[in-house]
Amino acid sequence: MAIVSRSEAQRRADEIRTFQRELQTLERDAVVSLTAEQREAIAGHHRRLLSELADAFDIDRDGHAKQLSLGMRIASFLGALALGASVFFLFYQFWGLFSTPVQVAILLAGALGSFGATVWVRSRDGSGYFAKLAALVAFACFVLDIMMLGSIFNITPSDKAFTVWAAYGFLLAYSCDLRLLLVAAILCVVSFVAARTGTVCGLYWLDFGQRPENFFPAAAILFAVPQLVRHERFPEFPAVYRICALLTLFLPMIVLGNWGEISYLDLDRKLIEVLYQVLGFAGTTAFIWLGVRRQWPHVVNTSITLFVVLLYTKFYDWWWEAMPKYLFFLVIALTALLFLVVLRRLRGAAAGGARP
Amino acid sequence: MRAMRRDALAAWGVALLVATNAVVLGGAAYNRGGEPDATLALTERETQLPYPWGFESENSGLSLRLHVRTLEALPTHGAIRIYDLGGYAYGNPQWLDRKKLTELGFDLSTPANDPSGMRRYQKQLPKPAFLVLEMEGEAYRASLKRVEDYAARESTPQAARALEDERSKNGRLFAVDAGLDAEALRAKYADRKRFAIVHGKVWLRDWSDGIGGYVEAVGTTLNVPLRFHGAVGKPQRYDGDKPRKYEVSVAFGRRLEPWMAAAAAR
Repeated sequence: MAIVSRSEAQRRADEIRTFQRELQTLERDAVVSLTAEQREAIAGHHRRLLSELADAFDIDRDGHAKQLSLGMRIASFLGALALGASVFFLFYQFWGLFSTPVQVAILLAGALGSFGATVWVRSRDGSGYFAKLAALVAFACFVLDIMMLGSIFNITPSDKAFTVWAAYGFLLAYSCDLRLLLVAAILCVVSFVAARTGTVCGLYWLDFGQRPENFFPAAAILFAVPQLVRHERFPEFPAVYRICALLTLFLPMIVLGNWGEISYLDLDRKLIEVLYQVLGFAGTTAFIWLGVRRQWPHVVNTSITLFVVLLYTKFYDWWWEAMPKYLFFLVIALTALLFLVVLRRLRGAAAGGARP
Repeated sequence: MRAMRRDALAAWGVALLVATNAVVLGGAAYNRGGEPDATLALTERETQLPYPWGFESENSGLSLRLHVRTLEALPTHGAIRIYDLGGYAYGNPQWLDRKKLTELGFDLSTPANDPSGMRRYQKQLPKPAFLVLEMEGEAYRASLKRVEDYAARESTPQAARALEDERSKNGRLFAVDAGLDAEALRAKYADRKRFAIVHGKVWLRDWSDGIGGYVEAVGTTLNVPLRFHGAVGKPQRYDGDKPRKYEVSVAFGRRLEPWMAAAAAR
């Protein structure tokens, strides 16, 4: 079997179920008619395949199992967050009672032990929920390890810490098929690239957040990753990269569109705000178009959301004080209707383009 | 991208964890190896315990923050007021003039009295620099002299209290210079028992008396090892608690990172 990840196995199982439902519909409408042997051969093949996938990856075989899986994912996520916080506060509560060598030994043992537990759980947990929980705790332990070593030895803060956290986050995210850790690793990359951009521009690295333009190079890198690295084993990861890239690009633009004085540009504050508002509207529109063209629904949805945030922020600035409230909200409602019309046209155009 | 096999995952993960910890611990060992760059004898006047609020109340660890003061530029017009004499950490050091700011990398070439020039000044963010800290030296004596002169001139209870505080309570650790070359600063301030060089950052600021700035020491929160907890005591829970008196020897290593070398209750 060439399938190696749970998400890939789940997608294959979903395709089989969709095929079975469609075959039933086609036979009922007398479009095709299979012989008993053919039907049995297909059904047997699917049964065997589903059984193998279920044994190997603990996939959801039907809709009911899928609903329960969602609950398990939420429980796993909350459990991991709580366990990570618990590890941190456990150390915080008792670390002062130990000598420095013991503190270092505990931190190192915590990082290595939680990683060993992740590897062990991953090899035994077909569902992946417990492995994901363990991976998140392992990541928290490593972050705690480096932070506390910095604190114990009074090490000057360095942006290089983001690189090792990012590397560890990527390692765990790709080995456990875990999007939450991928986001954590991406945040570390964004912080590192933004800090380096700020340093090149003459800032002290910890102040990189004070110039939102520092985030733009990181956005470009994130958007390029799924174009350059193939993710056929991790079909959900490219969307995470692109959504993070869009947020990294347009959230700073929204900030600059409202507070131009924190830009690098040596221009009048108002001019900078108008410039970034125009760039924001033009950029989100361009990404909506690109998302429709490339059939990236996540890009379309994120860009629309950012466009709406940009638009409503400006509406608020322009009209909240000047307009009666009923009129203000009427304008918002009319804008939403206009969006619906435009998107319906886009959808129609995309469907027309996809037709042979 | 392919999913990672168990052995490969284990090997990469362990390698990353061990290598990172080795680099961090190696760096700390390098910093503390050999003769310290400087060793200052400080007391509770120059160090601050954290206030135990929020999550801090559950922290069993102990840390001290160096309390760095500056000898501020006095107002060029009007009478000197009592709060001009405090020498607060974020005050306008009198030595941080236009020449020094330019040396540190700030662009002061345009006049500040037109809108575009002022905008350029306001946009300049803090820059990294090395700071020179002086313990109980000329800067402290100058600060004490200022308060003594003020107390002699004003003769008010507030002025007398300010003088008493300056003599026995306020910190004596002052930031006295900044530069981009730590070795050049060390050559200029050679006394390693009196001057320490630390990482810091310098801010440009448009004070009421003109362009100046302020400085901030970075990484000057000291972890207190378990063996010194008894000497330093616990953070004050209430303002009425009597602060413990102690002496600490703070060493600054080859990477200019400080650590507590000794501590004793007074």
